[in-house]
Amino acid sequence: MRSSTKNIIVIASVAVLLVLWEVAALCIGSENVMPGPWATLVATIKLFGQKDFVLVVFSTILRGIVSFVIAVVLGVALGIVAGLHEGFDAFMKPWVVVMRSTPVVAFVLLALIWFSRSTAVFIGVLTMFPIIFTNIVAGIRNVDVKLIEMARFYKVRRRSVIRNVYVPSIAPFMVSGISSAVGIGWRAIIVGEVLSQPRYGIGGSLQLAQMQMNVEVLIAWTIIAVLLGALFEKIIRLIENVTVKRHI
Amino acid sequence: MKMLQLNDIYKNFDGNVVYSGFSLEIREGVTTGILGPSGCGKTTLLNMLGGVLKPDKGEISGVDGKTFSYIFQEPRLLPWKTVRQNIEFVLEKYYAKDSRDRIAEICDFYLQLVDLHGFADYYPSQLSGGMSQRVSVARAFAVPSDIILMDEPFGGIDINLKKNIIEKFLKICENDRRTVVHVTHDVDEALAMSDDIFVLSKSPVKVVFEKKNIKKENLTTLKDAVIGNL
Repeated sequence: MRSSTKNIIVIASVAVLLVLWEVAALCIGSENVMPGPWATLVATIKLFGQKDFVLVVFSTILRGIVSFVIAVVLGVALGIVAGLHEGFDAFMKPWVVVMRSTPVVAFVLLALIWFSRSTAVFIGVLTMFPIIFTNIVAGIRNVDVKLIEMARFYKVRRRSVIRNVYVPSIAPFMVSGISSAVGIGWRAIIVGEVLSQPRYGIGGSLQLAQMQMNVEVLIAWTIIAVLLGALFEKIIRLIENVTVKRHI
Repeated sequence: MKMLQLNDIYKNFDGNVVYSGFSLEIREGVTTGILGPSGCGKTTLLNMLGGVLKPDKGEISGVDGKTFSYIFQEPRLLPWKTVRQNIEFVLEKYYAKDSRDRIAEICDFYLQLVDLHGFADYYPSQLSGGMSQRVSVARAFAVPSDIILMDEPFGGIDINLKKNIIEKFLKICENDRRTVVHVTHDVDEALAMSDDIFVLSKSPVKVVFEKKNIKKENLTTLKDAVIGNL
């Protein structure tokens, strides 16, 4: 399909969504329960002018970055060890299964008791770590032993083997792990904020809007969370294009 | 004449005796074809010669301090590197960092020899199987090695391409004599490429037939003799 045709379909899809939204708002007929797209847009723009807006947004982004860095460092380090040693992988397996299958909310409620204020960071790490870890393990398993053997037979230096054989084999797995971790982690952090109520944070603002029955503000914050999530994904795609060469 | 010698070699794998009191002498500076049924331990023999596998008992002489090149059954090229970068990858350790030009020259020279001079910047995925295998031949010769070990290198390639690669190989050998040990189960391939041939039995491996300087022999009679012993 031509890309111009695709763009038209995407625009039409958004238009249908907006029309359905407007119809729903008209049917319900109450701004307090279901504000229309226009009212929400106005509320969103107003948010930008709010005095704490930047602080709120950056607090959440900062929590995202901190938990992302912790998850990547742990996930990559432990993933490499587990990828190379089956015994360690077997040891990690139950932990990872627990982390992956426990509902986020259960962790949030526990974390509220244990950490209170840094709950969101803890939740971010807990959701992102297993995804990155699993991908790194899969990446290492994916390294072609025949290429490793070739390098060993030709007595290529160890550092060169790591840089030219291991890293390029693992990179696509690492990038896909990171991109799904960021998508899931971002949403989990906001859930964490809703319940832990840090002084500044998108999750906290969502919760406050809900308590005040300020539905258009609630949706406006949601839109900002979605836009930021999309922005992060875009950034990761860009990094992916630069780092992972696709010739395979 | 100098020799690579395997003396009274023993090698077991999980209790299976592959080599037991096995000895073999391989002449340096010529191509030796080693024939034998599949799975008789020919790859093990190459790995022991190349020093990546140690025999349980026995000694291998004439290989100390030598450098090796390998041509495997598959091309084994790094898919994310171009043809040139693939050759550079194994050459790096032989040349100083400031000899980029020298390395490029060597790559070009050997790619020319296998008729791939226009393909230095191609990725393996853009080449056919036969072309990729020619790159692996160029890579083996580009390394300043004393000994080239070949493990059924043209197994998966169709007959015409195989003839073409063998011709290229012989052409390179005319000017660049190295010790080549070529393991295969393809009689015609071995007869076309080798100076000396050995036929090995199933494990525990014994030499059941050998002939030196086969280029002087009558190929049809020789072929019958080889097949009779395989």
